[in-house]
Amino acid sequence: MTTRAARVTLQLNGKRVSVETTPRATLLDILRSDFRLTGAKEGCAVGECGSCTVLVDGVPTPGCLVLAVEMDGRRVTTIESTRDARVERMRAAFLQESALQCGACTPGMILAASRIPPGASAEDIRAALAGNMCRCTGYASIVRAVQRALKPQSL
Amino acid sequence: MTRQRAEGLIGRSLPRPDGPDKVHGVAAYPQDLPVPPDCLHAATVRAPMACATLSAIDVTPALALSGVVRVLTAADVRGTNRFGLAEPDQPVLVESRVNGASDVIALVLATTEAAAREGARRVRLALTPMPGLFDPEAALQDGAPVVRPDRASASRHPNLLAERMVRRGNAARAMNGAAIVVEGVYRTSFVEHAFVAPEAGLATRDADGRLTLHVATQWPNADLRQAAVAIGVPRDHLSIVQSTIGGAFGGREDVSLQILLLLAAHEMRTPVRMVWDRRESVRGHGKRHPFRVRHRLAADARGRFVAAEVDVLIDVGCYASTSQQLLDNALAHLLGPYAIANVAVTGRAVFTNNPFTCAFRGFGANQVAFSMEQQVNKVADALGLDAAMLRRRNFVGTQGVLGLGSRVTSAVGLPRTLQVAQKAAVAKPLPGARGAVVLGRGIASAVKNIGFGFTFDDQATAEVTVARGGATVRIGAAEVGQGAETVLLQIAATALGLPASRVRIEWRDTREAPDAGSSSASRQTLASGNAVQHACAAARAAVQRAGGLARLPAGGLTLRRTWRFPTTRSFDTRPARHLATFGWATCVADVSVDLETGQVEVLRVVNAIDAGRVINPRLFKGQVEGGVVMGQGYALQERMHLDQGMPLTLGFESCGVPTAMDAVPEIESLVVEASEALGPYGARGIGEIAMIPVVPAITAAIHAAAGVWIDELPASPARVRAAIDALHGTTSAAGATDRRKRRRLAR
Repeated sequence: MTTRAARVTLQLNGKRVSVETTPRATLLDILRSDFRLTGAKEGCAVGECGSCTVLVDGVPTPGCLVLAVEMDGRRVTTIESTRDARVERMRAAFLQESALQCGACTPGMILAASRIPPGASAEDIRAALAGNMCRCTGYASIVRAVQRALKPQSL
Repeated sequence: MTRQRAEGLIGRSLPRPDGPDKVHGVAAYPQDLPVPPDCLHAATVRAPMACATLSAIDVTPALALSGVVRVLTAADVRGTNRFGLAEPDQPVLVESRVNGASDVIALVLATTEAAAREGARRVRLALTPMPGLFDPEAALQDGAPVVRPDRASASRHPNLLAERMVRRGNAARAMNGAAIVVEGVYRTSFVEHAFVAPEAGLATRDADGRLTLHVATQWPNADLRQAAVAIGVPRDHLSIVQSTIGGAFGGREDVSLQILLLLAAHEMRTPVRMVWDRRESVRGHGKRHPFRVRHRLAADARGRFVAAEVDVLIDVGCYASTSQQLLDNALAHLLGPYAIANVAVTGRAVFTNNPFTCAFRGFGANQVAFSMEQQVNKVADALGLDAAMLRRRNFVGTQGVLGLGSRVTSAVGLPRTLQVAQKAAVAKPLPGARGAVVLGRGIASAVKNIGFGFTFDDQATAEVTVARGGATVRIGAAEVGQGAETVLLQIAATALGLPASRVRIEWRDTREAPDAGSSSASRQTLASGNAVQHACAAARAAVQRAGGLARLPAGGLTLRRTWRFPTTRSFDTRPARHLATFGWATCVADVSVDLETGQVEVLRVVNAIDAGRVINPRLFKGQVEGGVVMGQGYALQERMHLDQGMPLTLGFESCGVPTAMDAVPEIESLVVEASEALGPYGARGIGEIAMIPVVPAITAAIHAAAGVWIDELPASPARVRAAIDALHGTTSAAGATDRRKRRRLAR
């Protein structure tokens, strides 16, 4: 098996970064190994659990399902970023509603939730989060947190 | 509501101290720890079948791979090479016989994770498959192959891990005189914990040979006790620093990769890291026990339960773990929160080559709550009695005795849970049926022990240092997401009379934090809560004697207190206090059933819990809501599929774990506070009870909606549809098809 090196340049949490990687490496791999950003977790590696969710050009994306080389020229936001207003609102709401227990799903959940549009119904919220597994909370507090964050002037 | 008056921080929703790190993604789970420069990576070699003899291991192809430095096998283990929570019957590395899916044969160590995994694929095993046993009934037949010939058995059949016969009163006579006898056979499946973060760990070794393991665990001191013997290292050379845990639910009470990592770091004298992927996680830890319960419940004309004859068969899988203890616990809870005088019960826990079984939220109480509550609802149905009234008539009281002889010694808020759950339920009537979708409401009650009981010396120790700046409380109670750190902080601050901001809980390092036992059996609020309260109250008194915080010596003062559960008795003695105390709950579930597809949707759940006293209402709500959805998954969709003992369902979706779309959209969590005599500030612990009544409430609702009793979990669409077809006969099934066709034509 030959592995050619590939160089990827992306905007990561607002900074232009570049990394030498392999064609088979996923976005999750380079985030965790090369950039030491471990907020995105590998829960299943097959796109079932969503605990590796990050924002790619603002779109919630499982980091385990996209290749690092596809990220060339893209904008990637991880849970460690504190520059995104919608993520900040969601983060605060998750704390206020105590919408977490073990916290392993929380980074992906917050990022996925941050792109739910205002006016979303509880059912819309659940549909938007259907790709993010949580085994602790039963999702109820998470839905409340999203509703709180989406309320005008809620914080 | 029977809420109690606030005292200090008790009853307040203090924010979780671990919240900010978790929402910023910087809480460190074991897979997130920085990898030391000289670290080796480990990967396991496992057999592709559950039952086989191992005659040779050829490690040379693995060692030929660049990066692989060593392959450890059983020959490298200097200790007993055995571990197990209650009985050391699991090999760290297999010597000659593969018993089940979780067995590890060799450990490949390499300079990169990729090389370790590739090396593991290259290790050649000489395995001879053997006919395994995968059905507990078959395993108990005369002449059945012996699942565990390596294990000395004192039972009458070598495949029996444990057997219990319980006789109270005269069940046969009482059955004869009863107005009604309801019979049922109930079956449940293997279920996967499916915590979100798979197992991972990092072991390091210092120059003196002391080993430190960074890992997520429910019971660090039990891990170390087992590891010391298994690998032959003195216990005081071993310590654990608990990383943040990505869920547990009982599935991290047993050792998974802990001993492998300590073994490797000990042998290689370097740090060693291992991270399991999801598939390996599902293979590597235990599962919820499948039960088969044959149940006969007799009642008089007024619905008083007069007798029960029950036969319980539990599939233990391939290793003992805590299954003997689970059998006792299941039997203690077998007849629910009811007083029944005449009982004839047999319980057997049987070895097979299926995955080993272990603790999983409820510890045997869930399976028997399903069978008993179904029976209770069937009695109500047969006698034409209201199911809630029937329960009230039979509830055990304070100082009462449960069906199999376990004495209840503290307050029982159970009738009140029933009252408030019913009140909340009826406040919102069921919507009407729509076409083939019918609706129903079901009720169930439950009991769950707090603490291990059955003679176990169950205790927790807390150490507090109070200085001018504030207090540090050291207690090794694993924060498994349930909120133990928050609860203990609230108890400590209240007992010390300090604001929470001046108190810290240190729980992670076994060298610093005293043993607080396991984060299981719903016991940490009670056990560690008491230890913390006693230590902090004593410290507060000492500070007052010293003339206040300002007059303490520079290092402050340090005090240590151990809290022990009251003595409990073996299940051989009856009636007796087998379990220290109990929590109580009543659940009402509303469901819809599609008569054509068998699809069940849970529309609303009301769950009323007697918590003794709620320390943190928001955490209470979180436990109840999480328990409800885990119960919903267990009732309707979760199941491990096995092929000859090997798990086929290796992911979240295939295991049936509920998503946000599946989860019941409306949960009302209600609290009843019948003060717990043993508890700190009257608190008790609710992690398990919150889940237990949910399953039978859902199956009762299915019956109310569709007229069918689903006696095997999960109540999958195929099962529900088959039961509906059986109820109405084949003509009706055809009728349903006709209706569907007609509707399609009408469009």
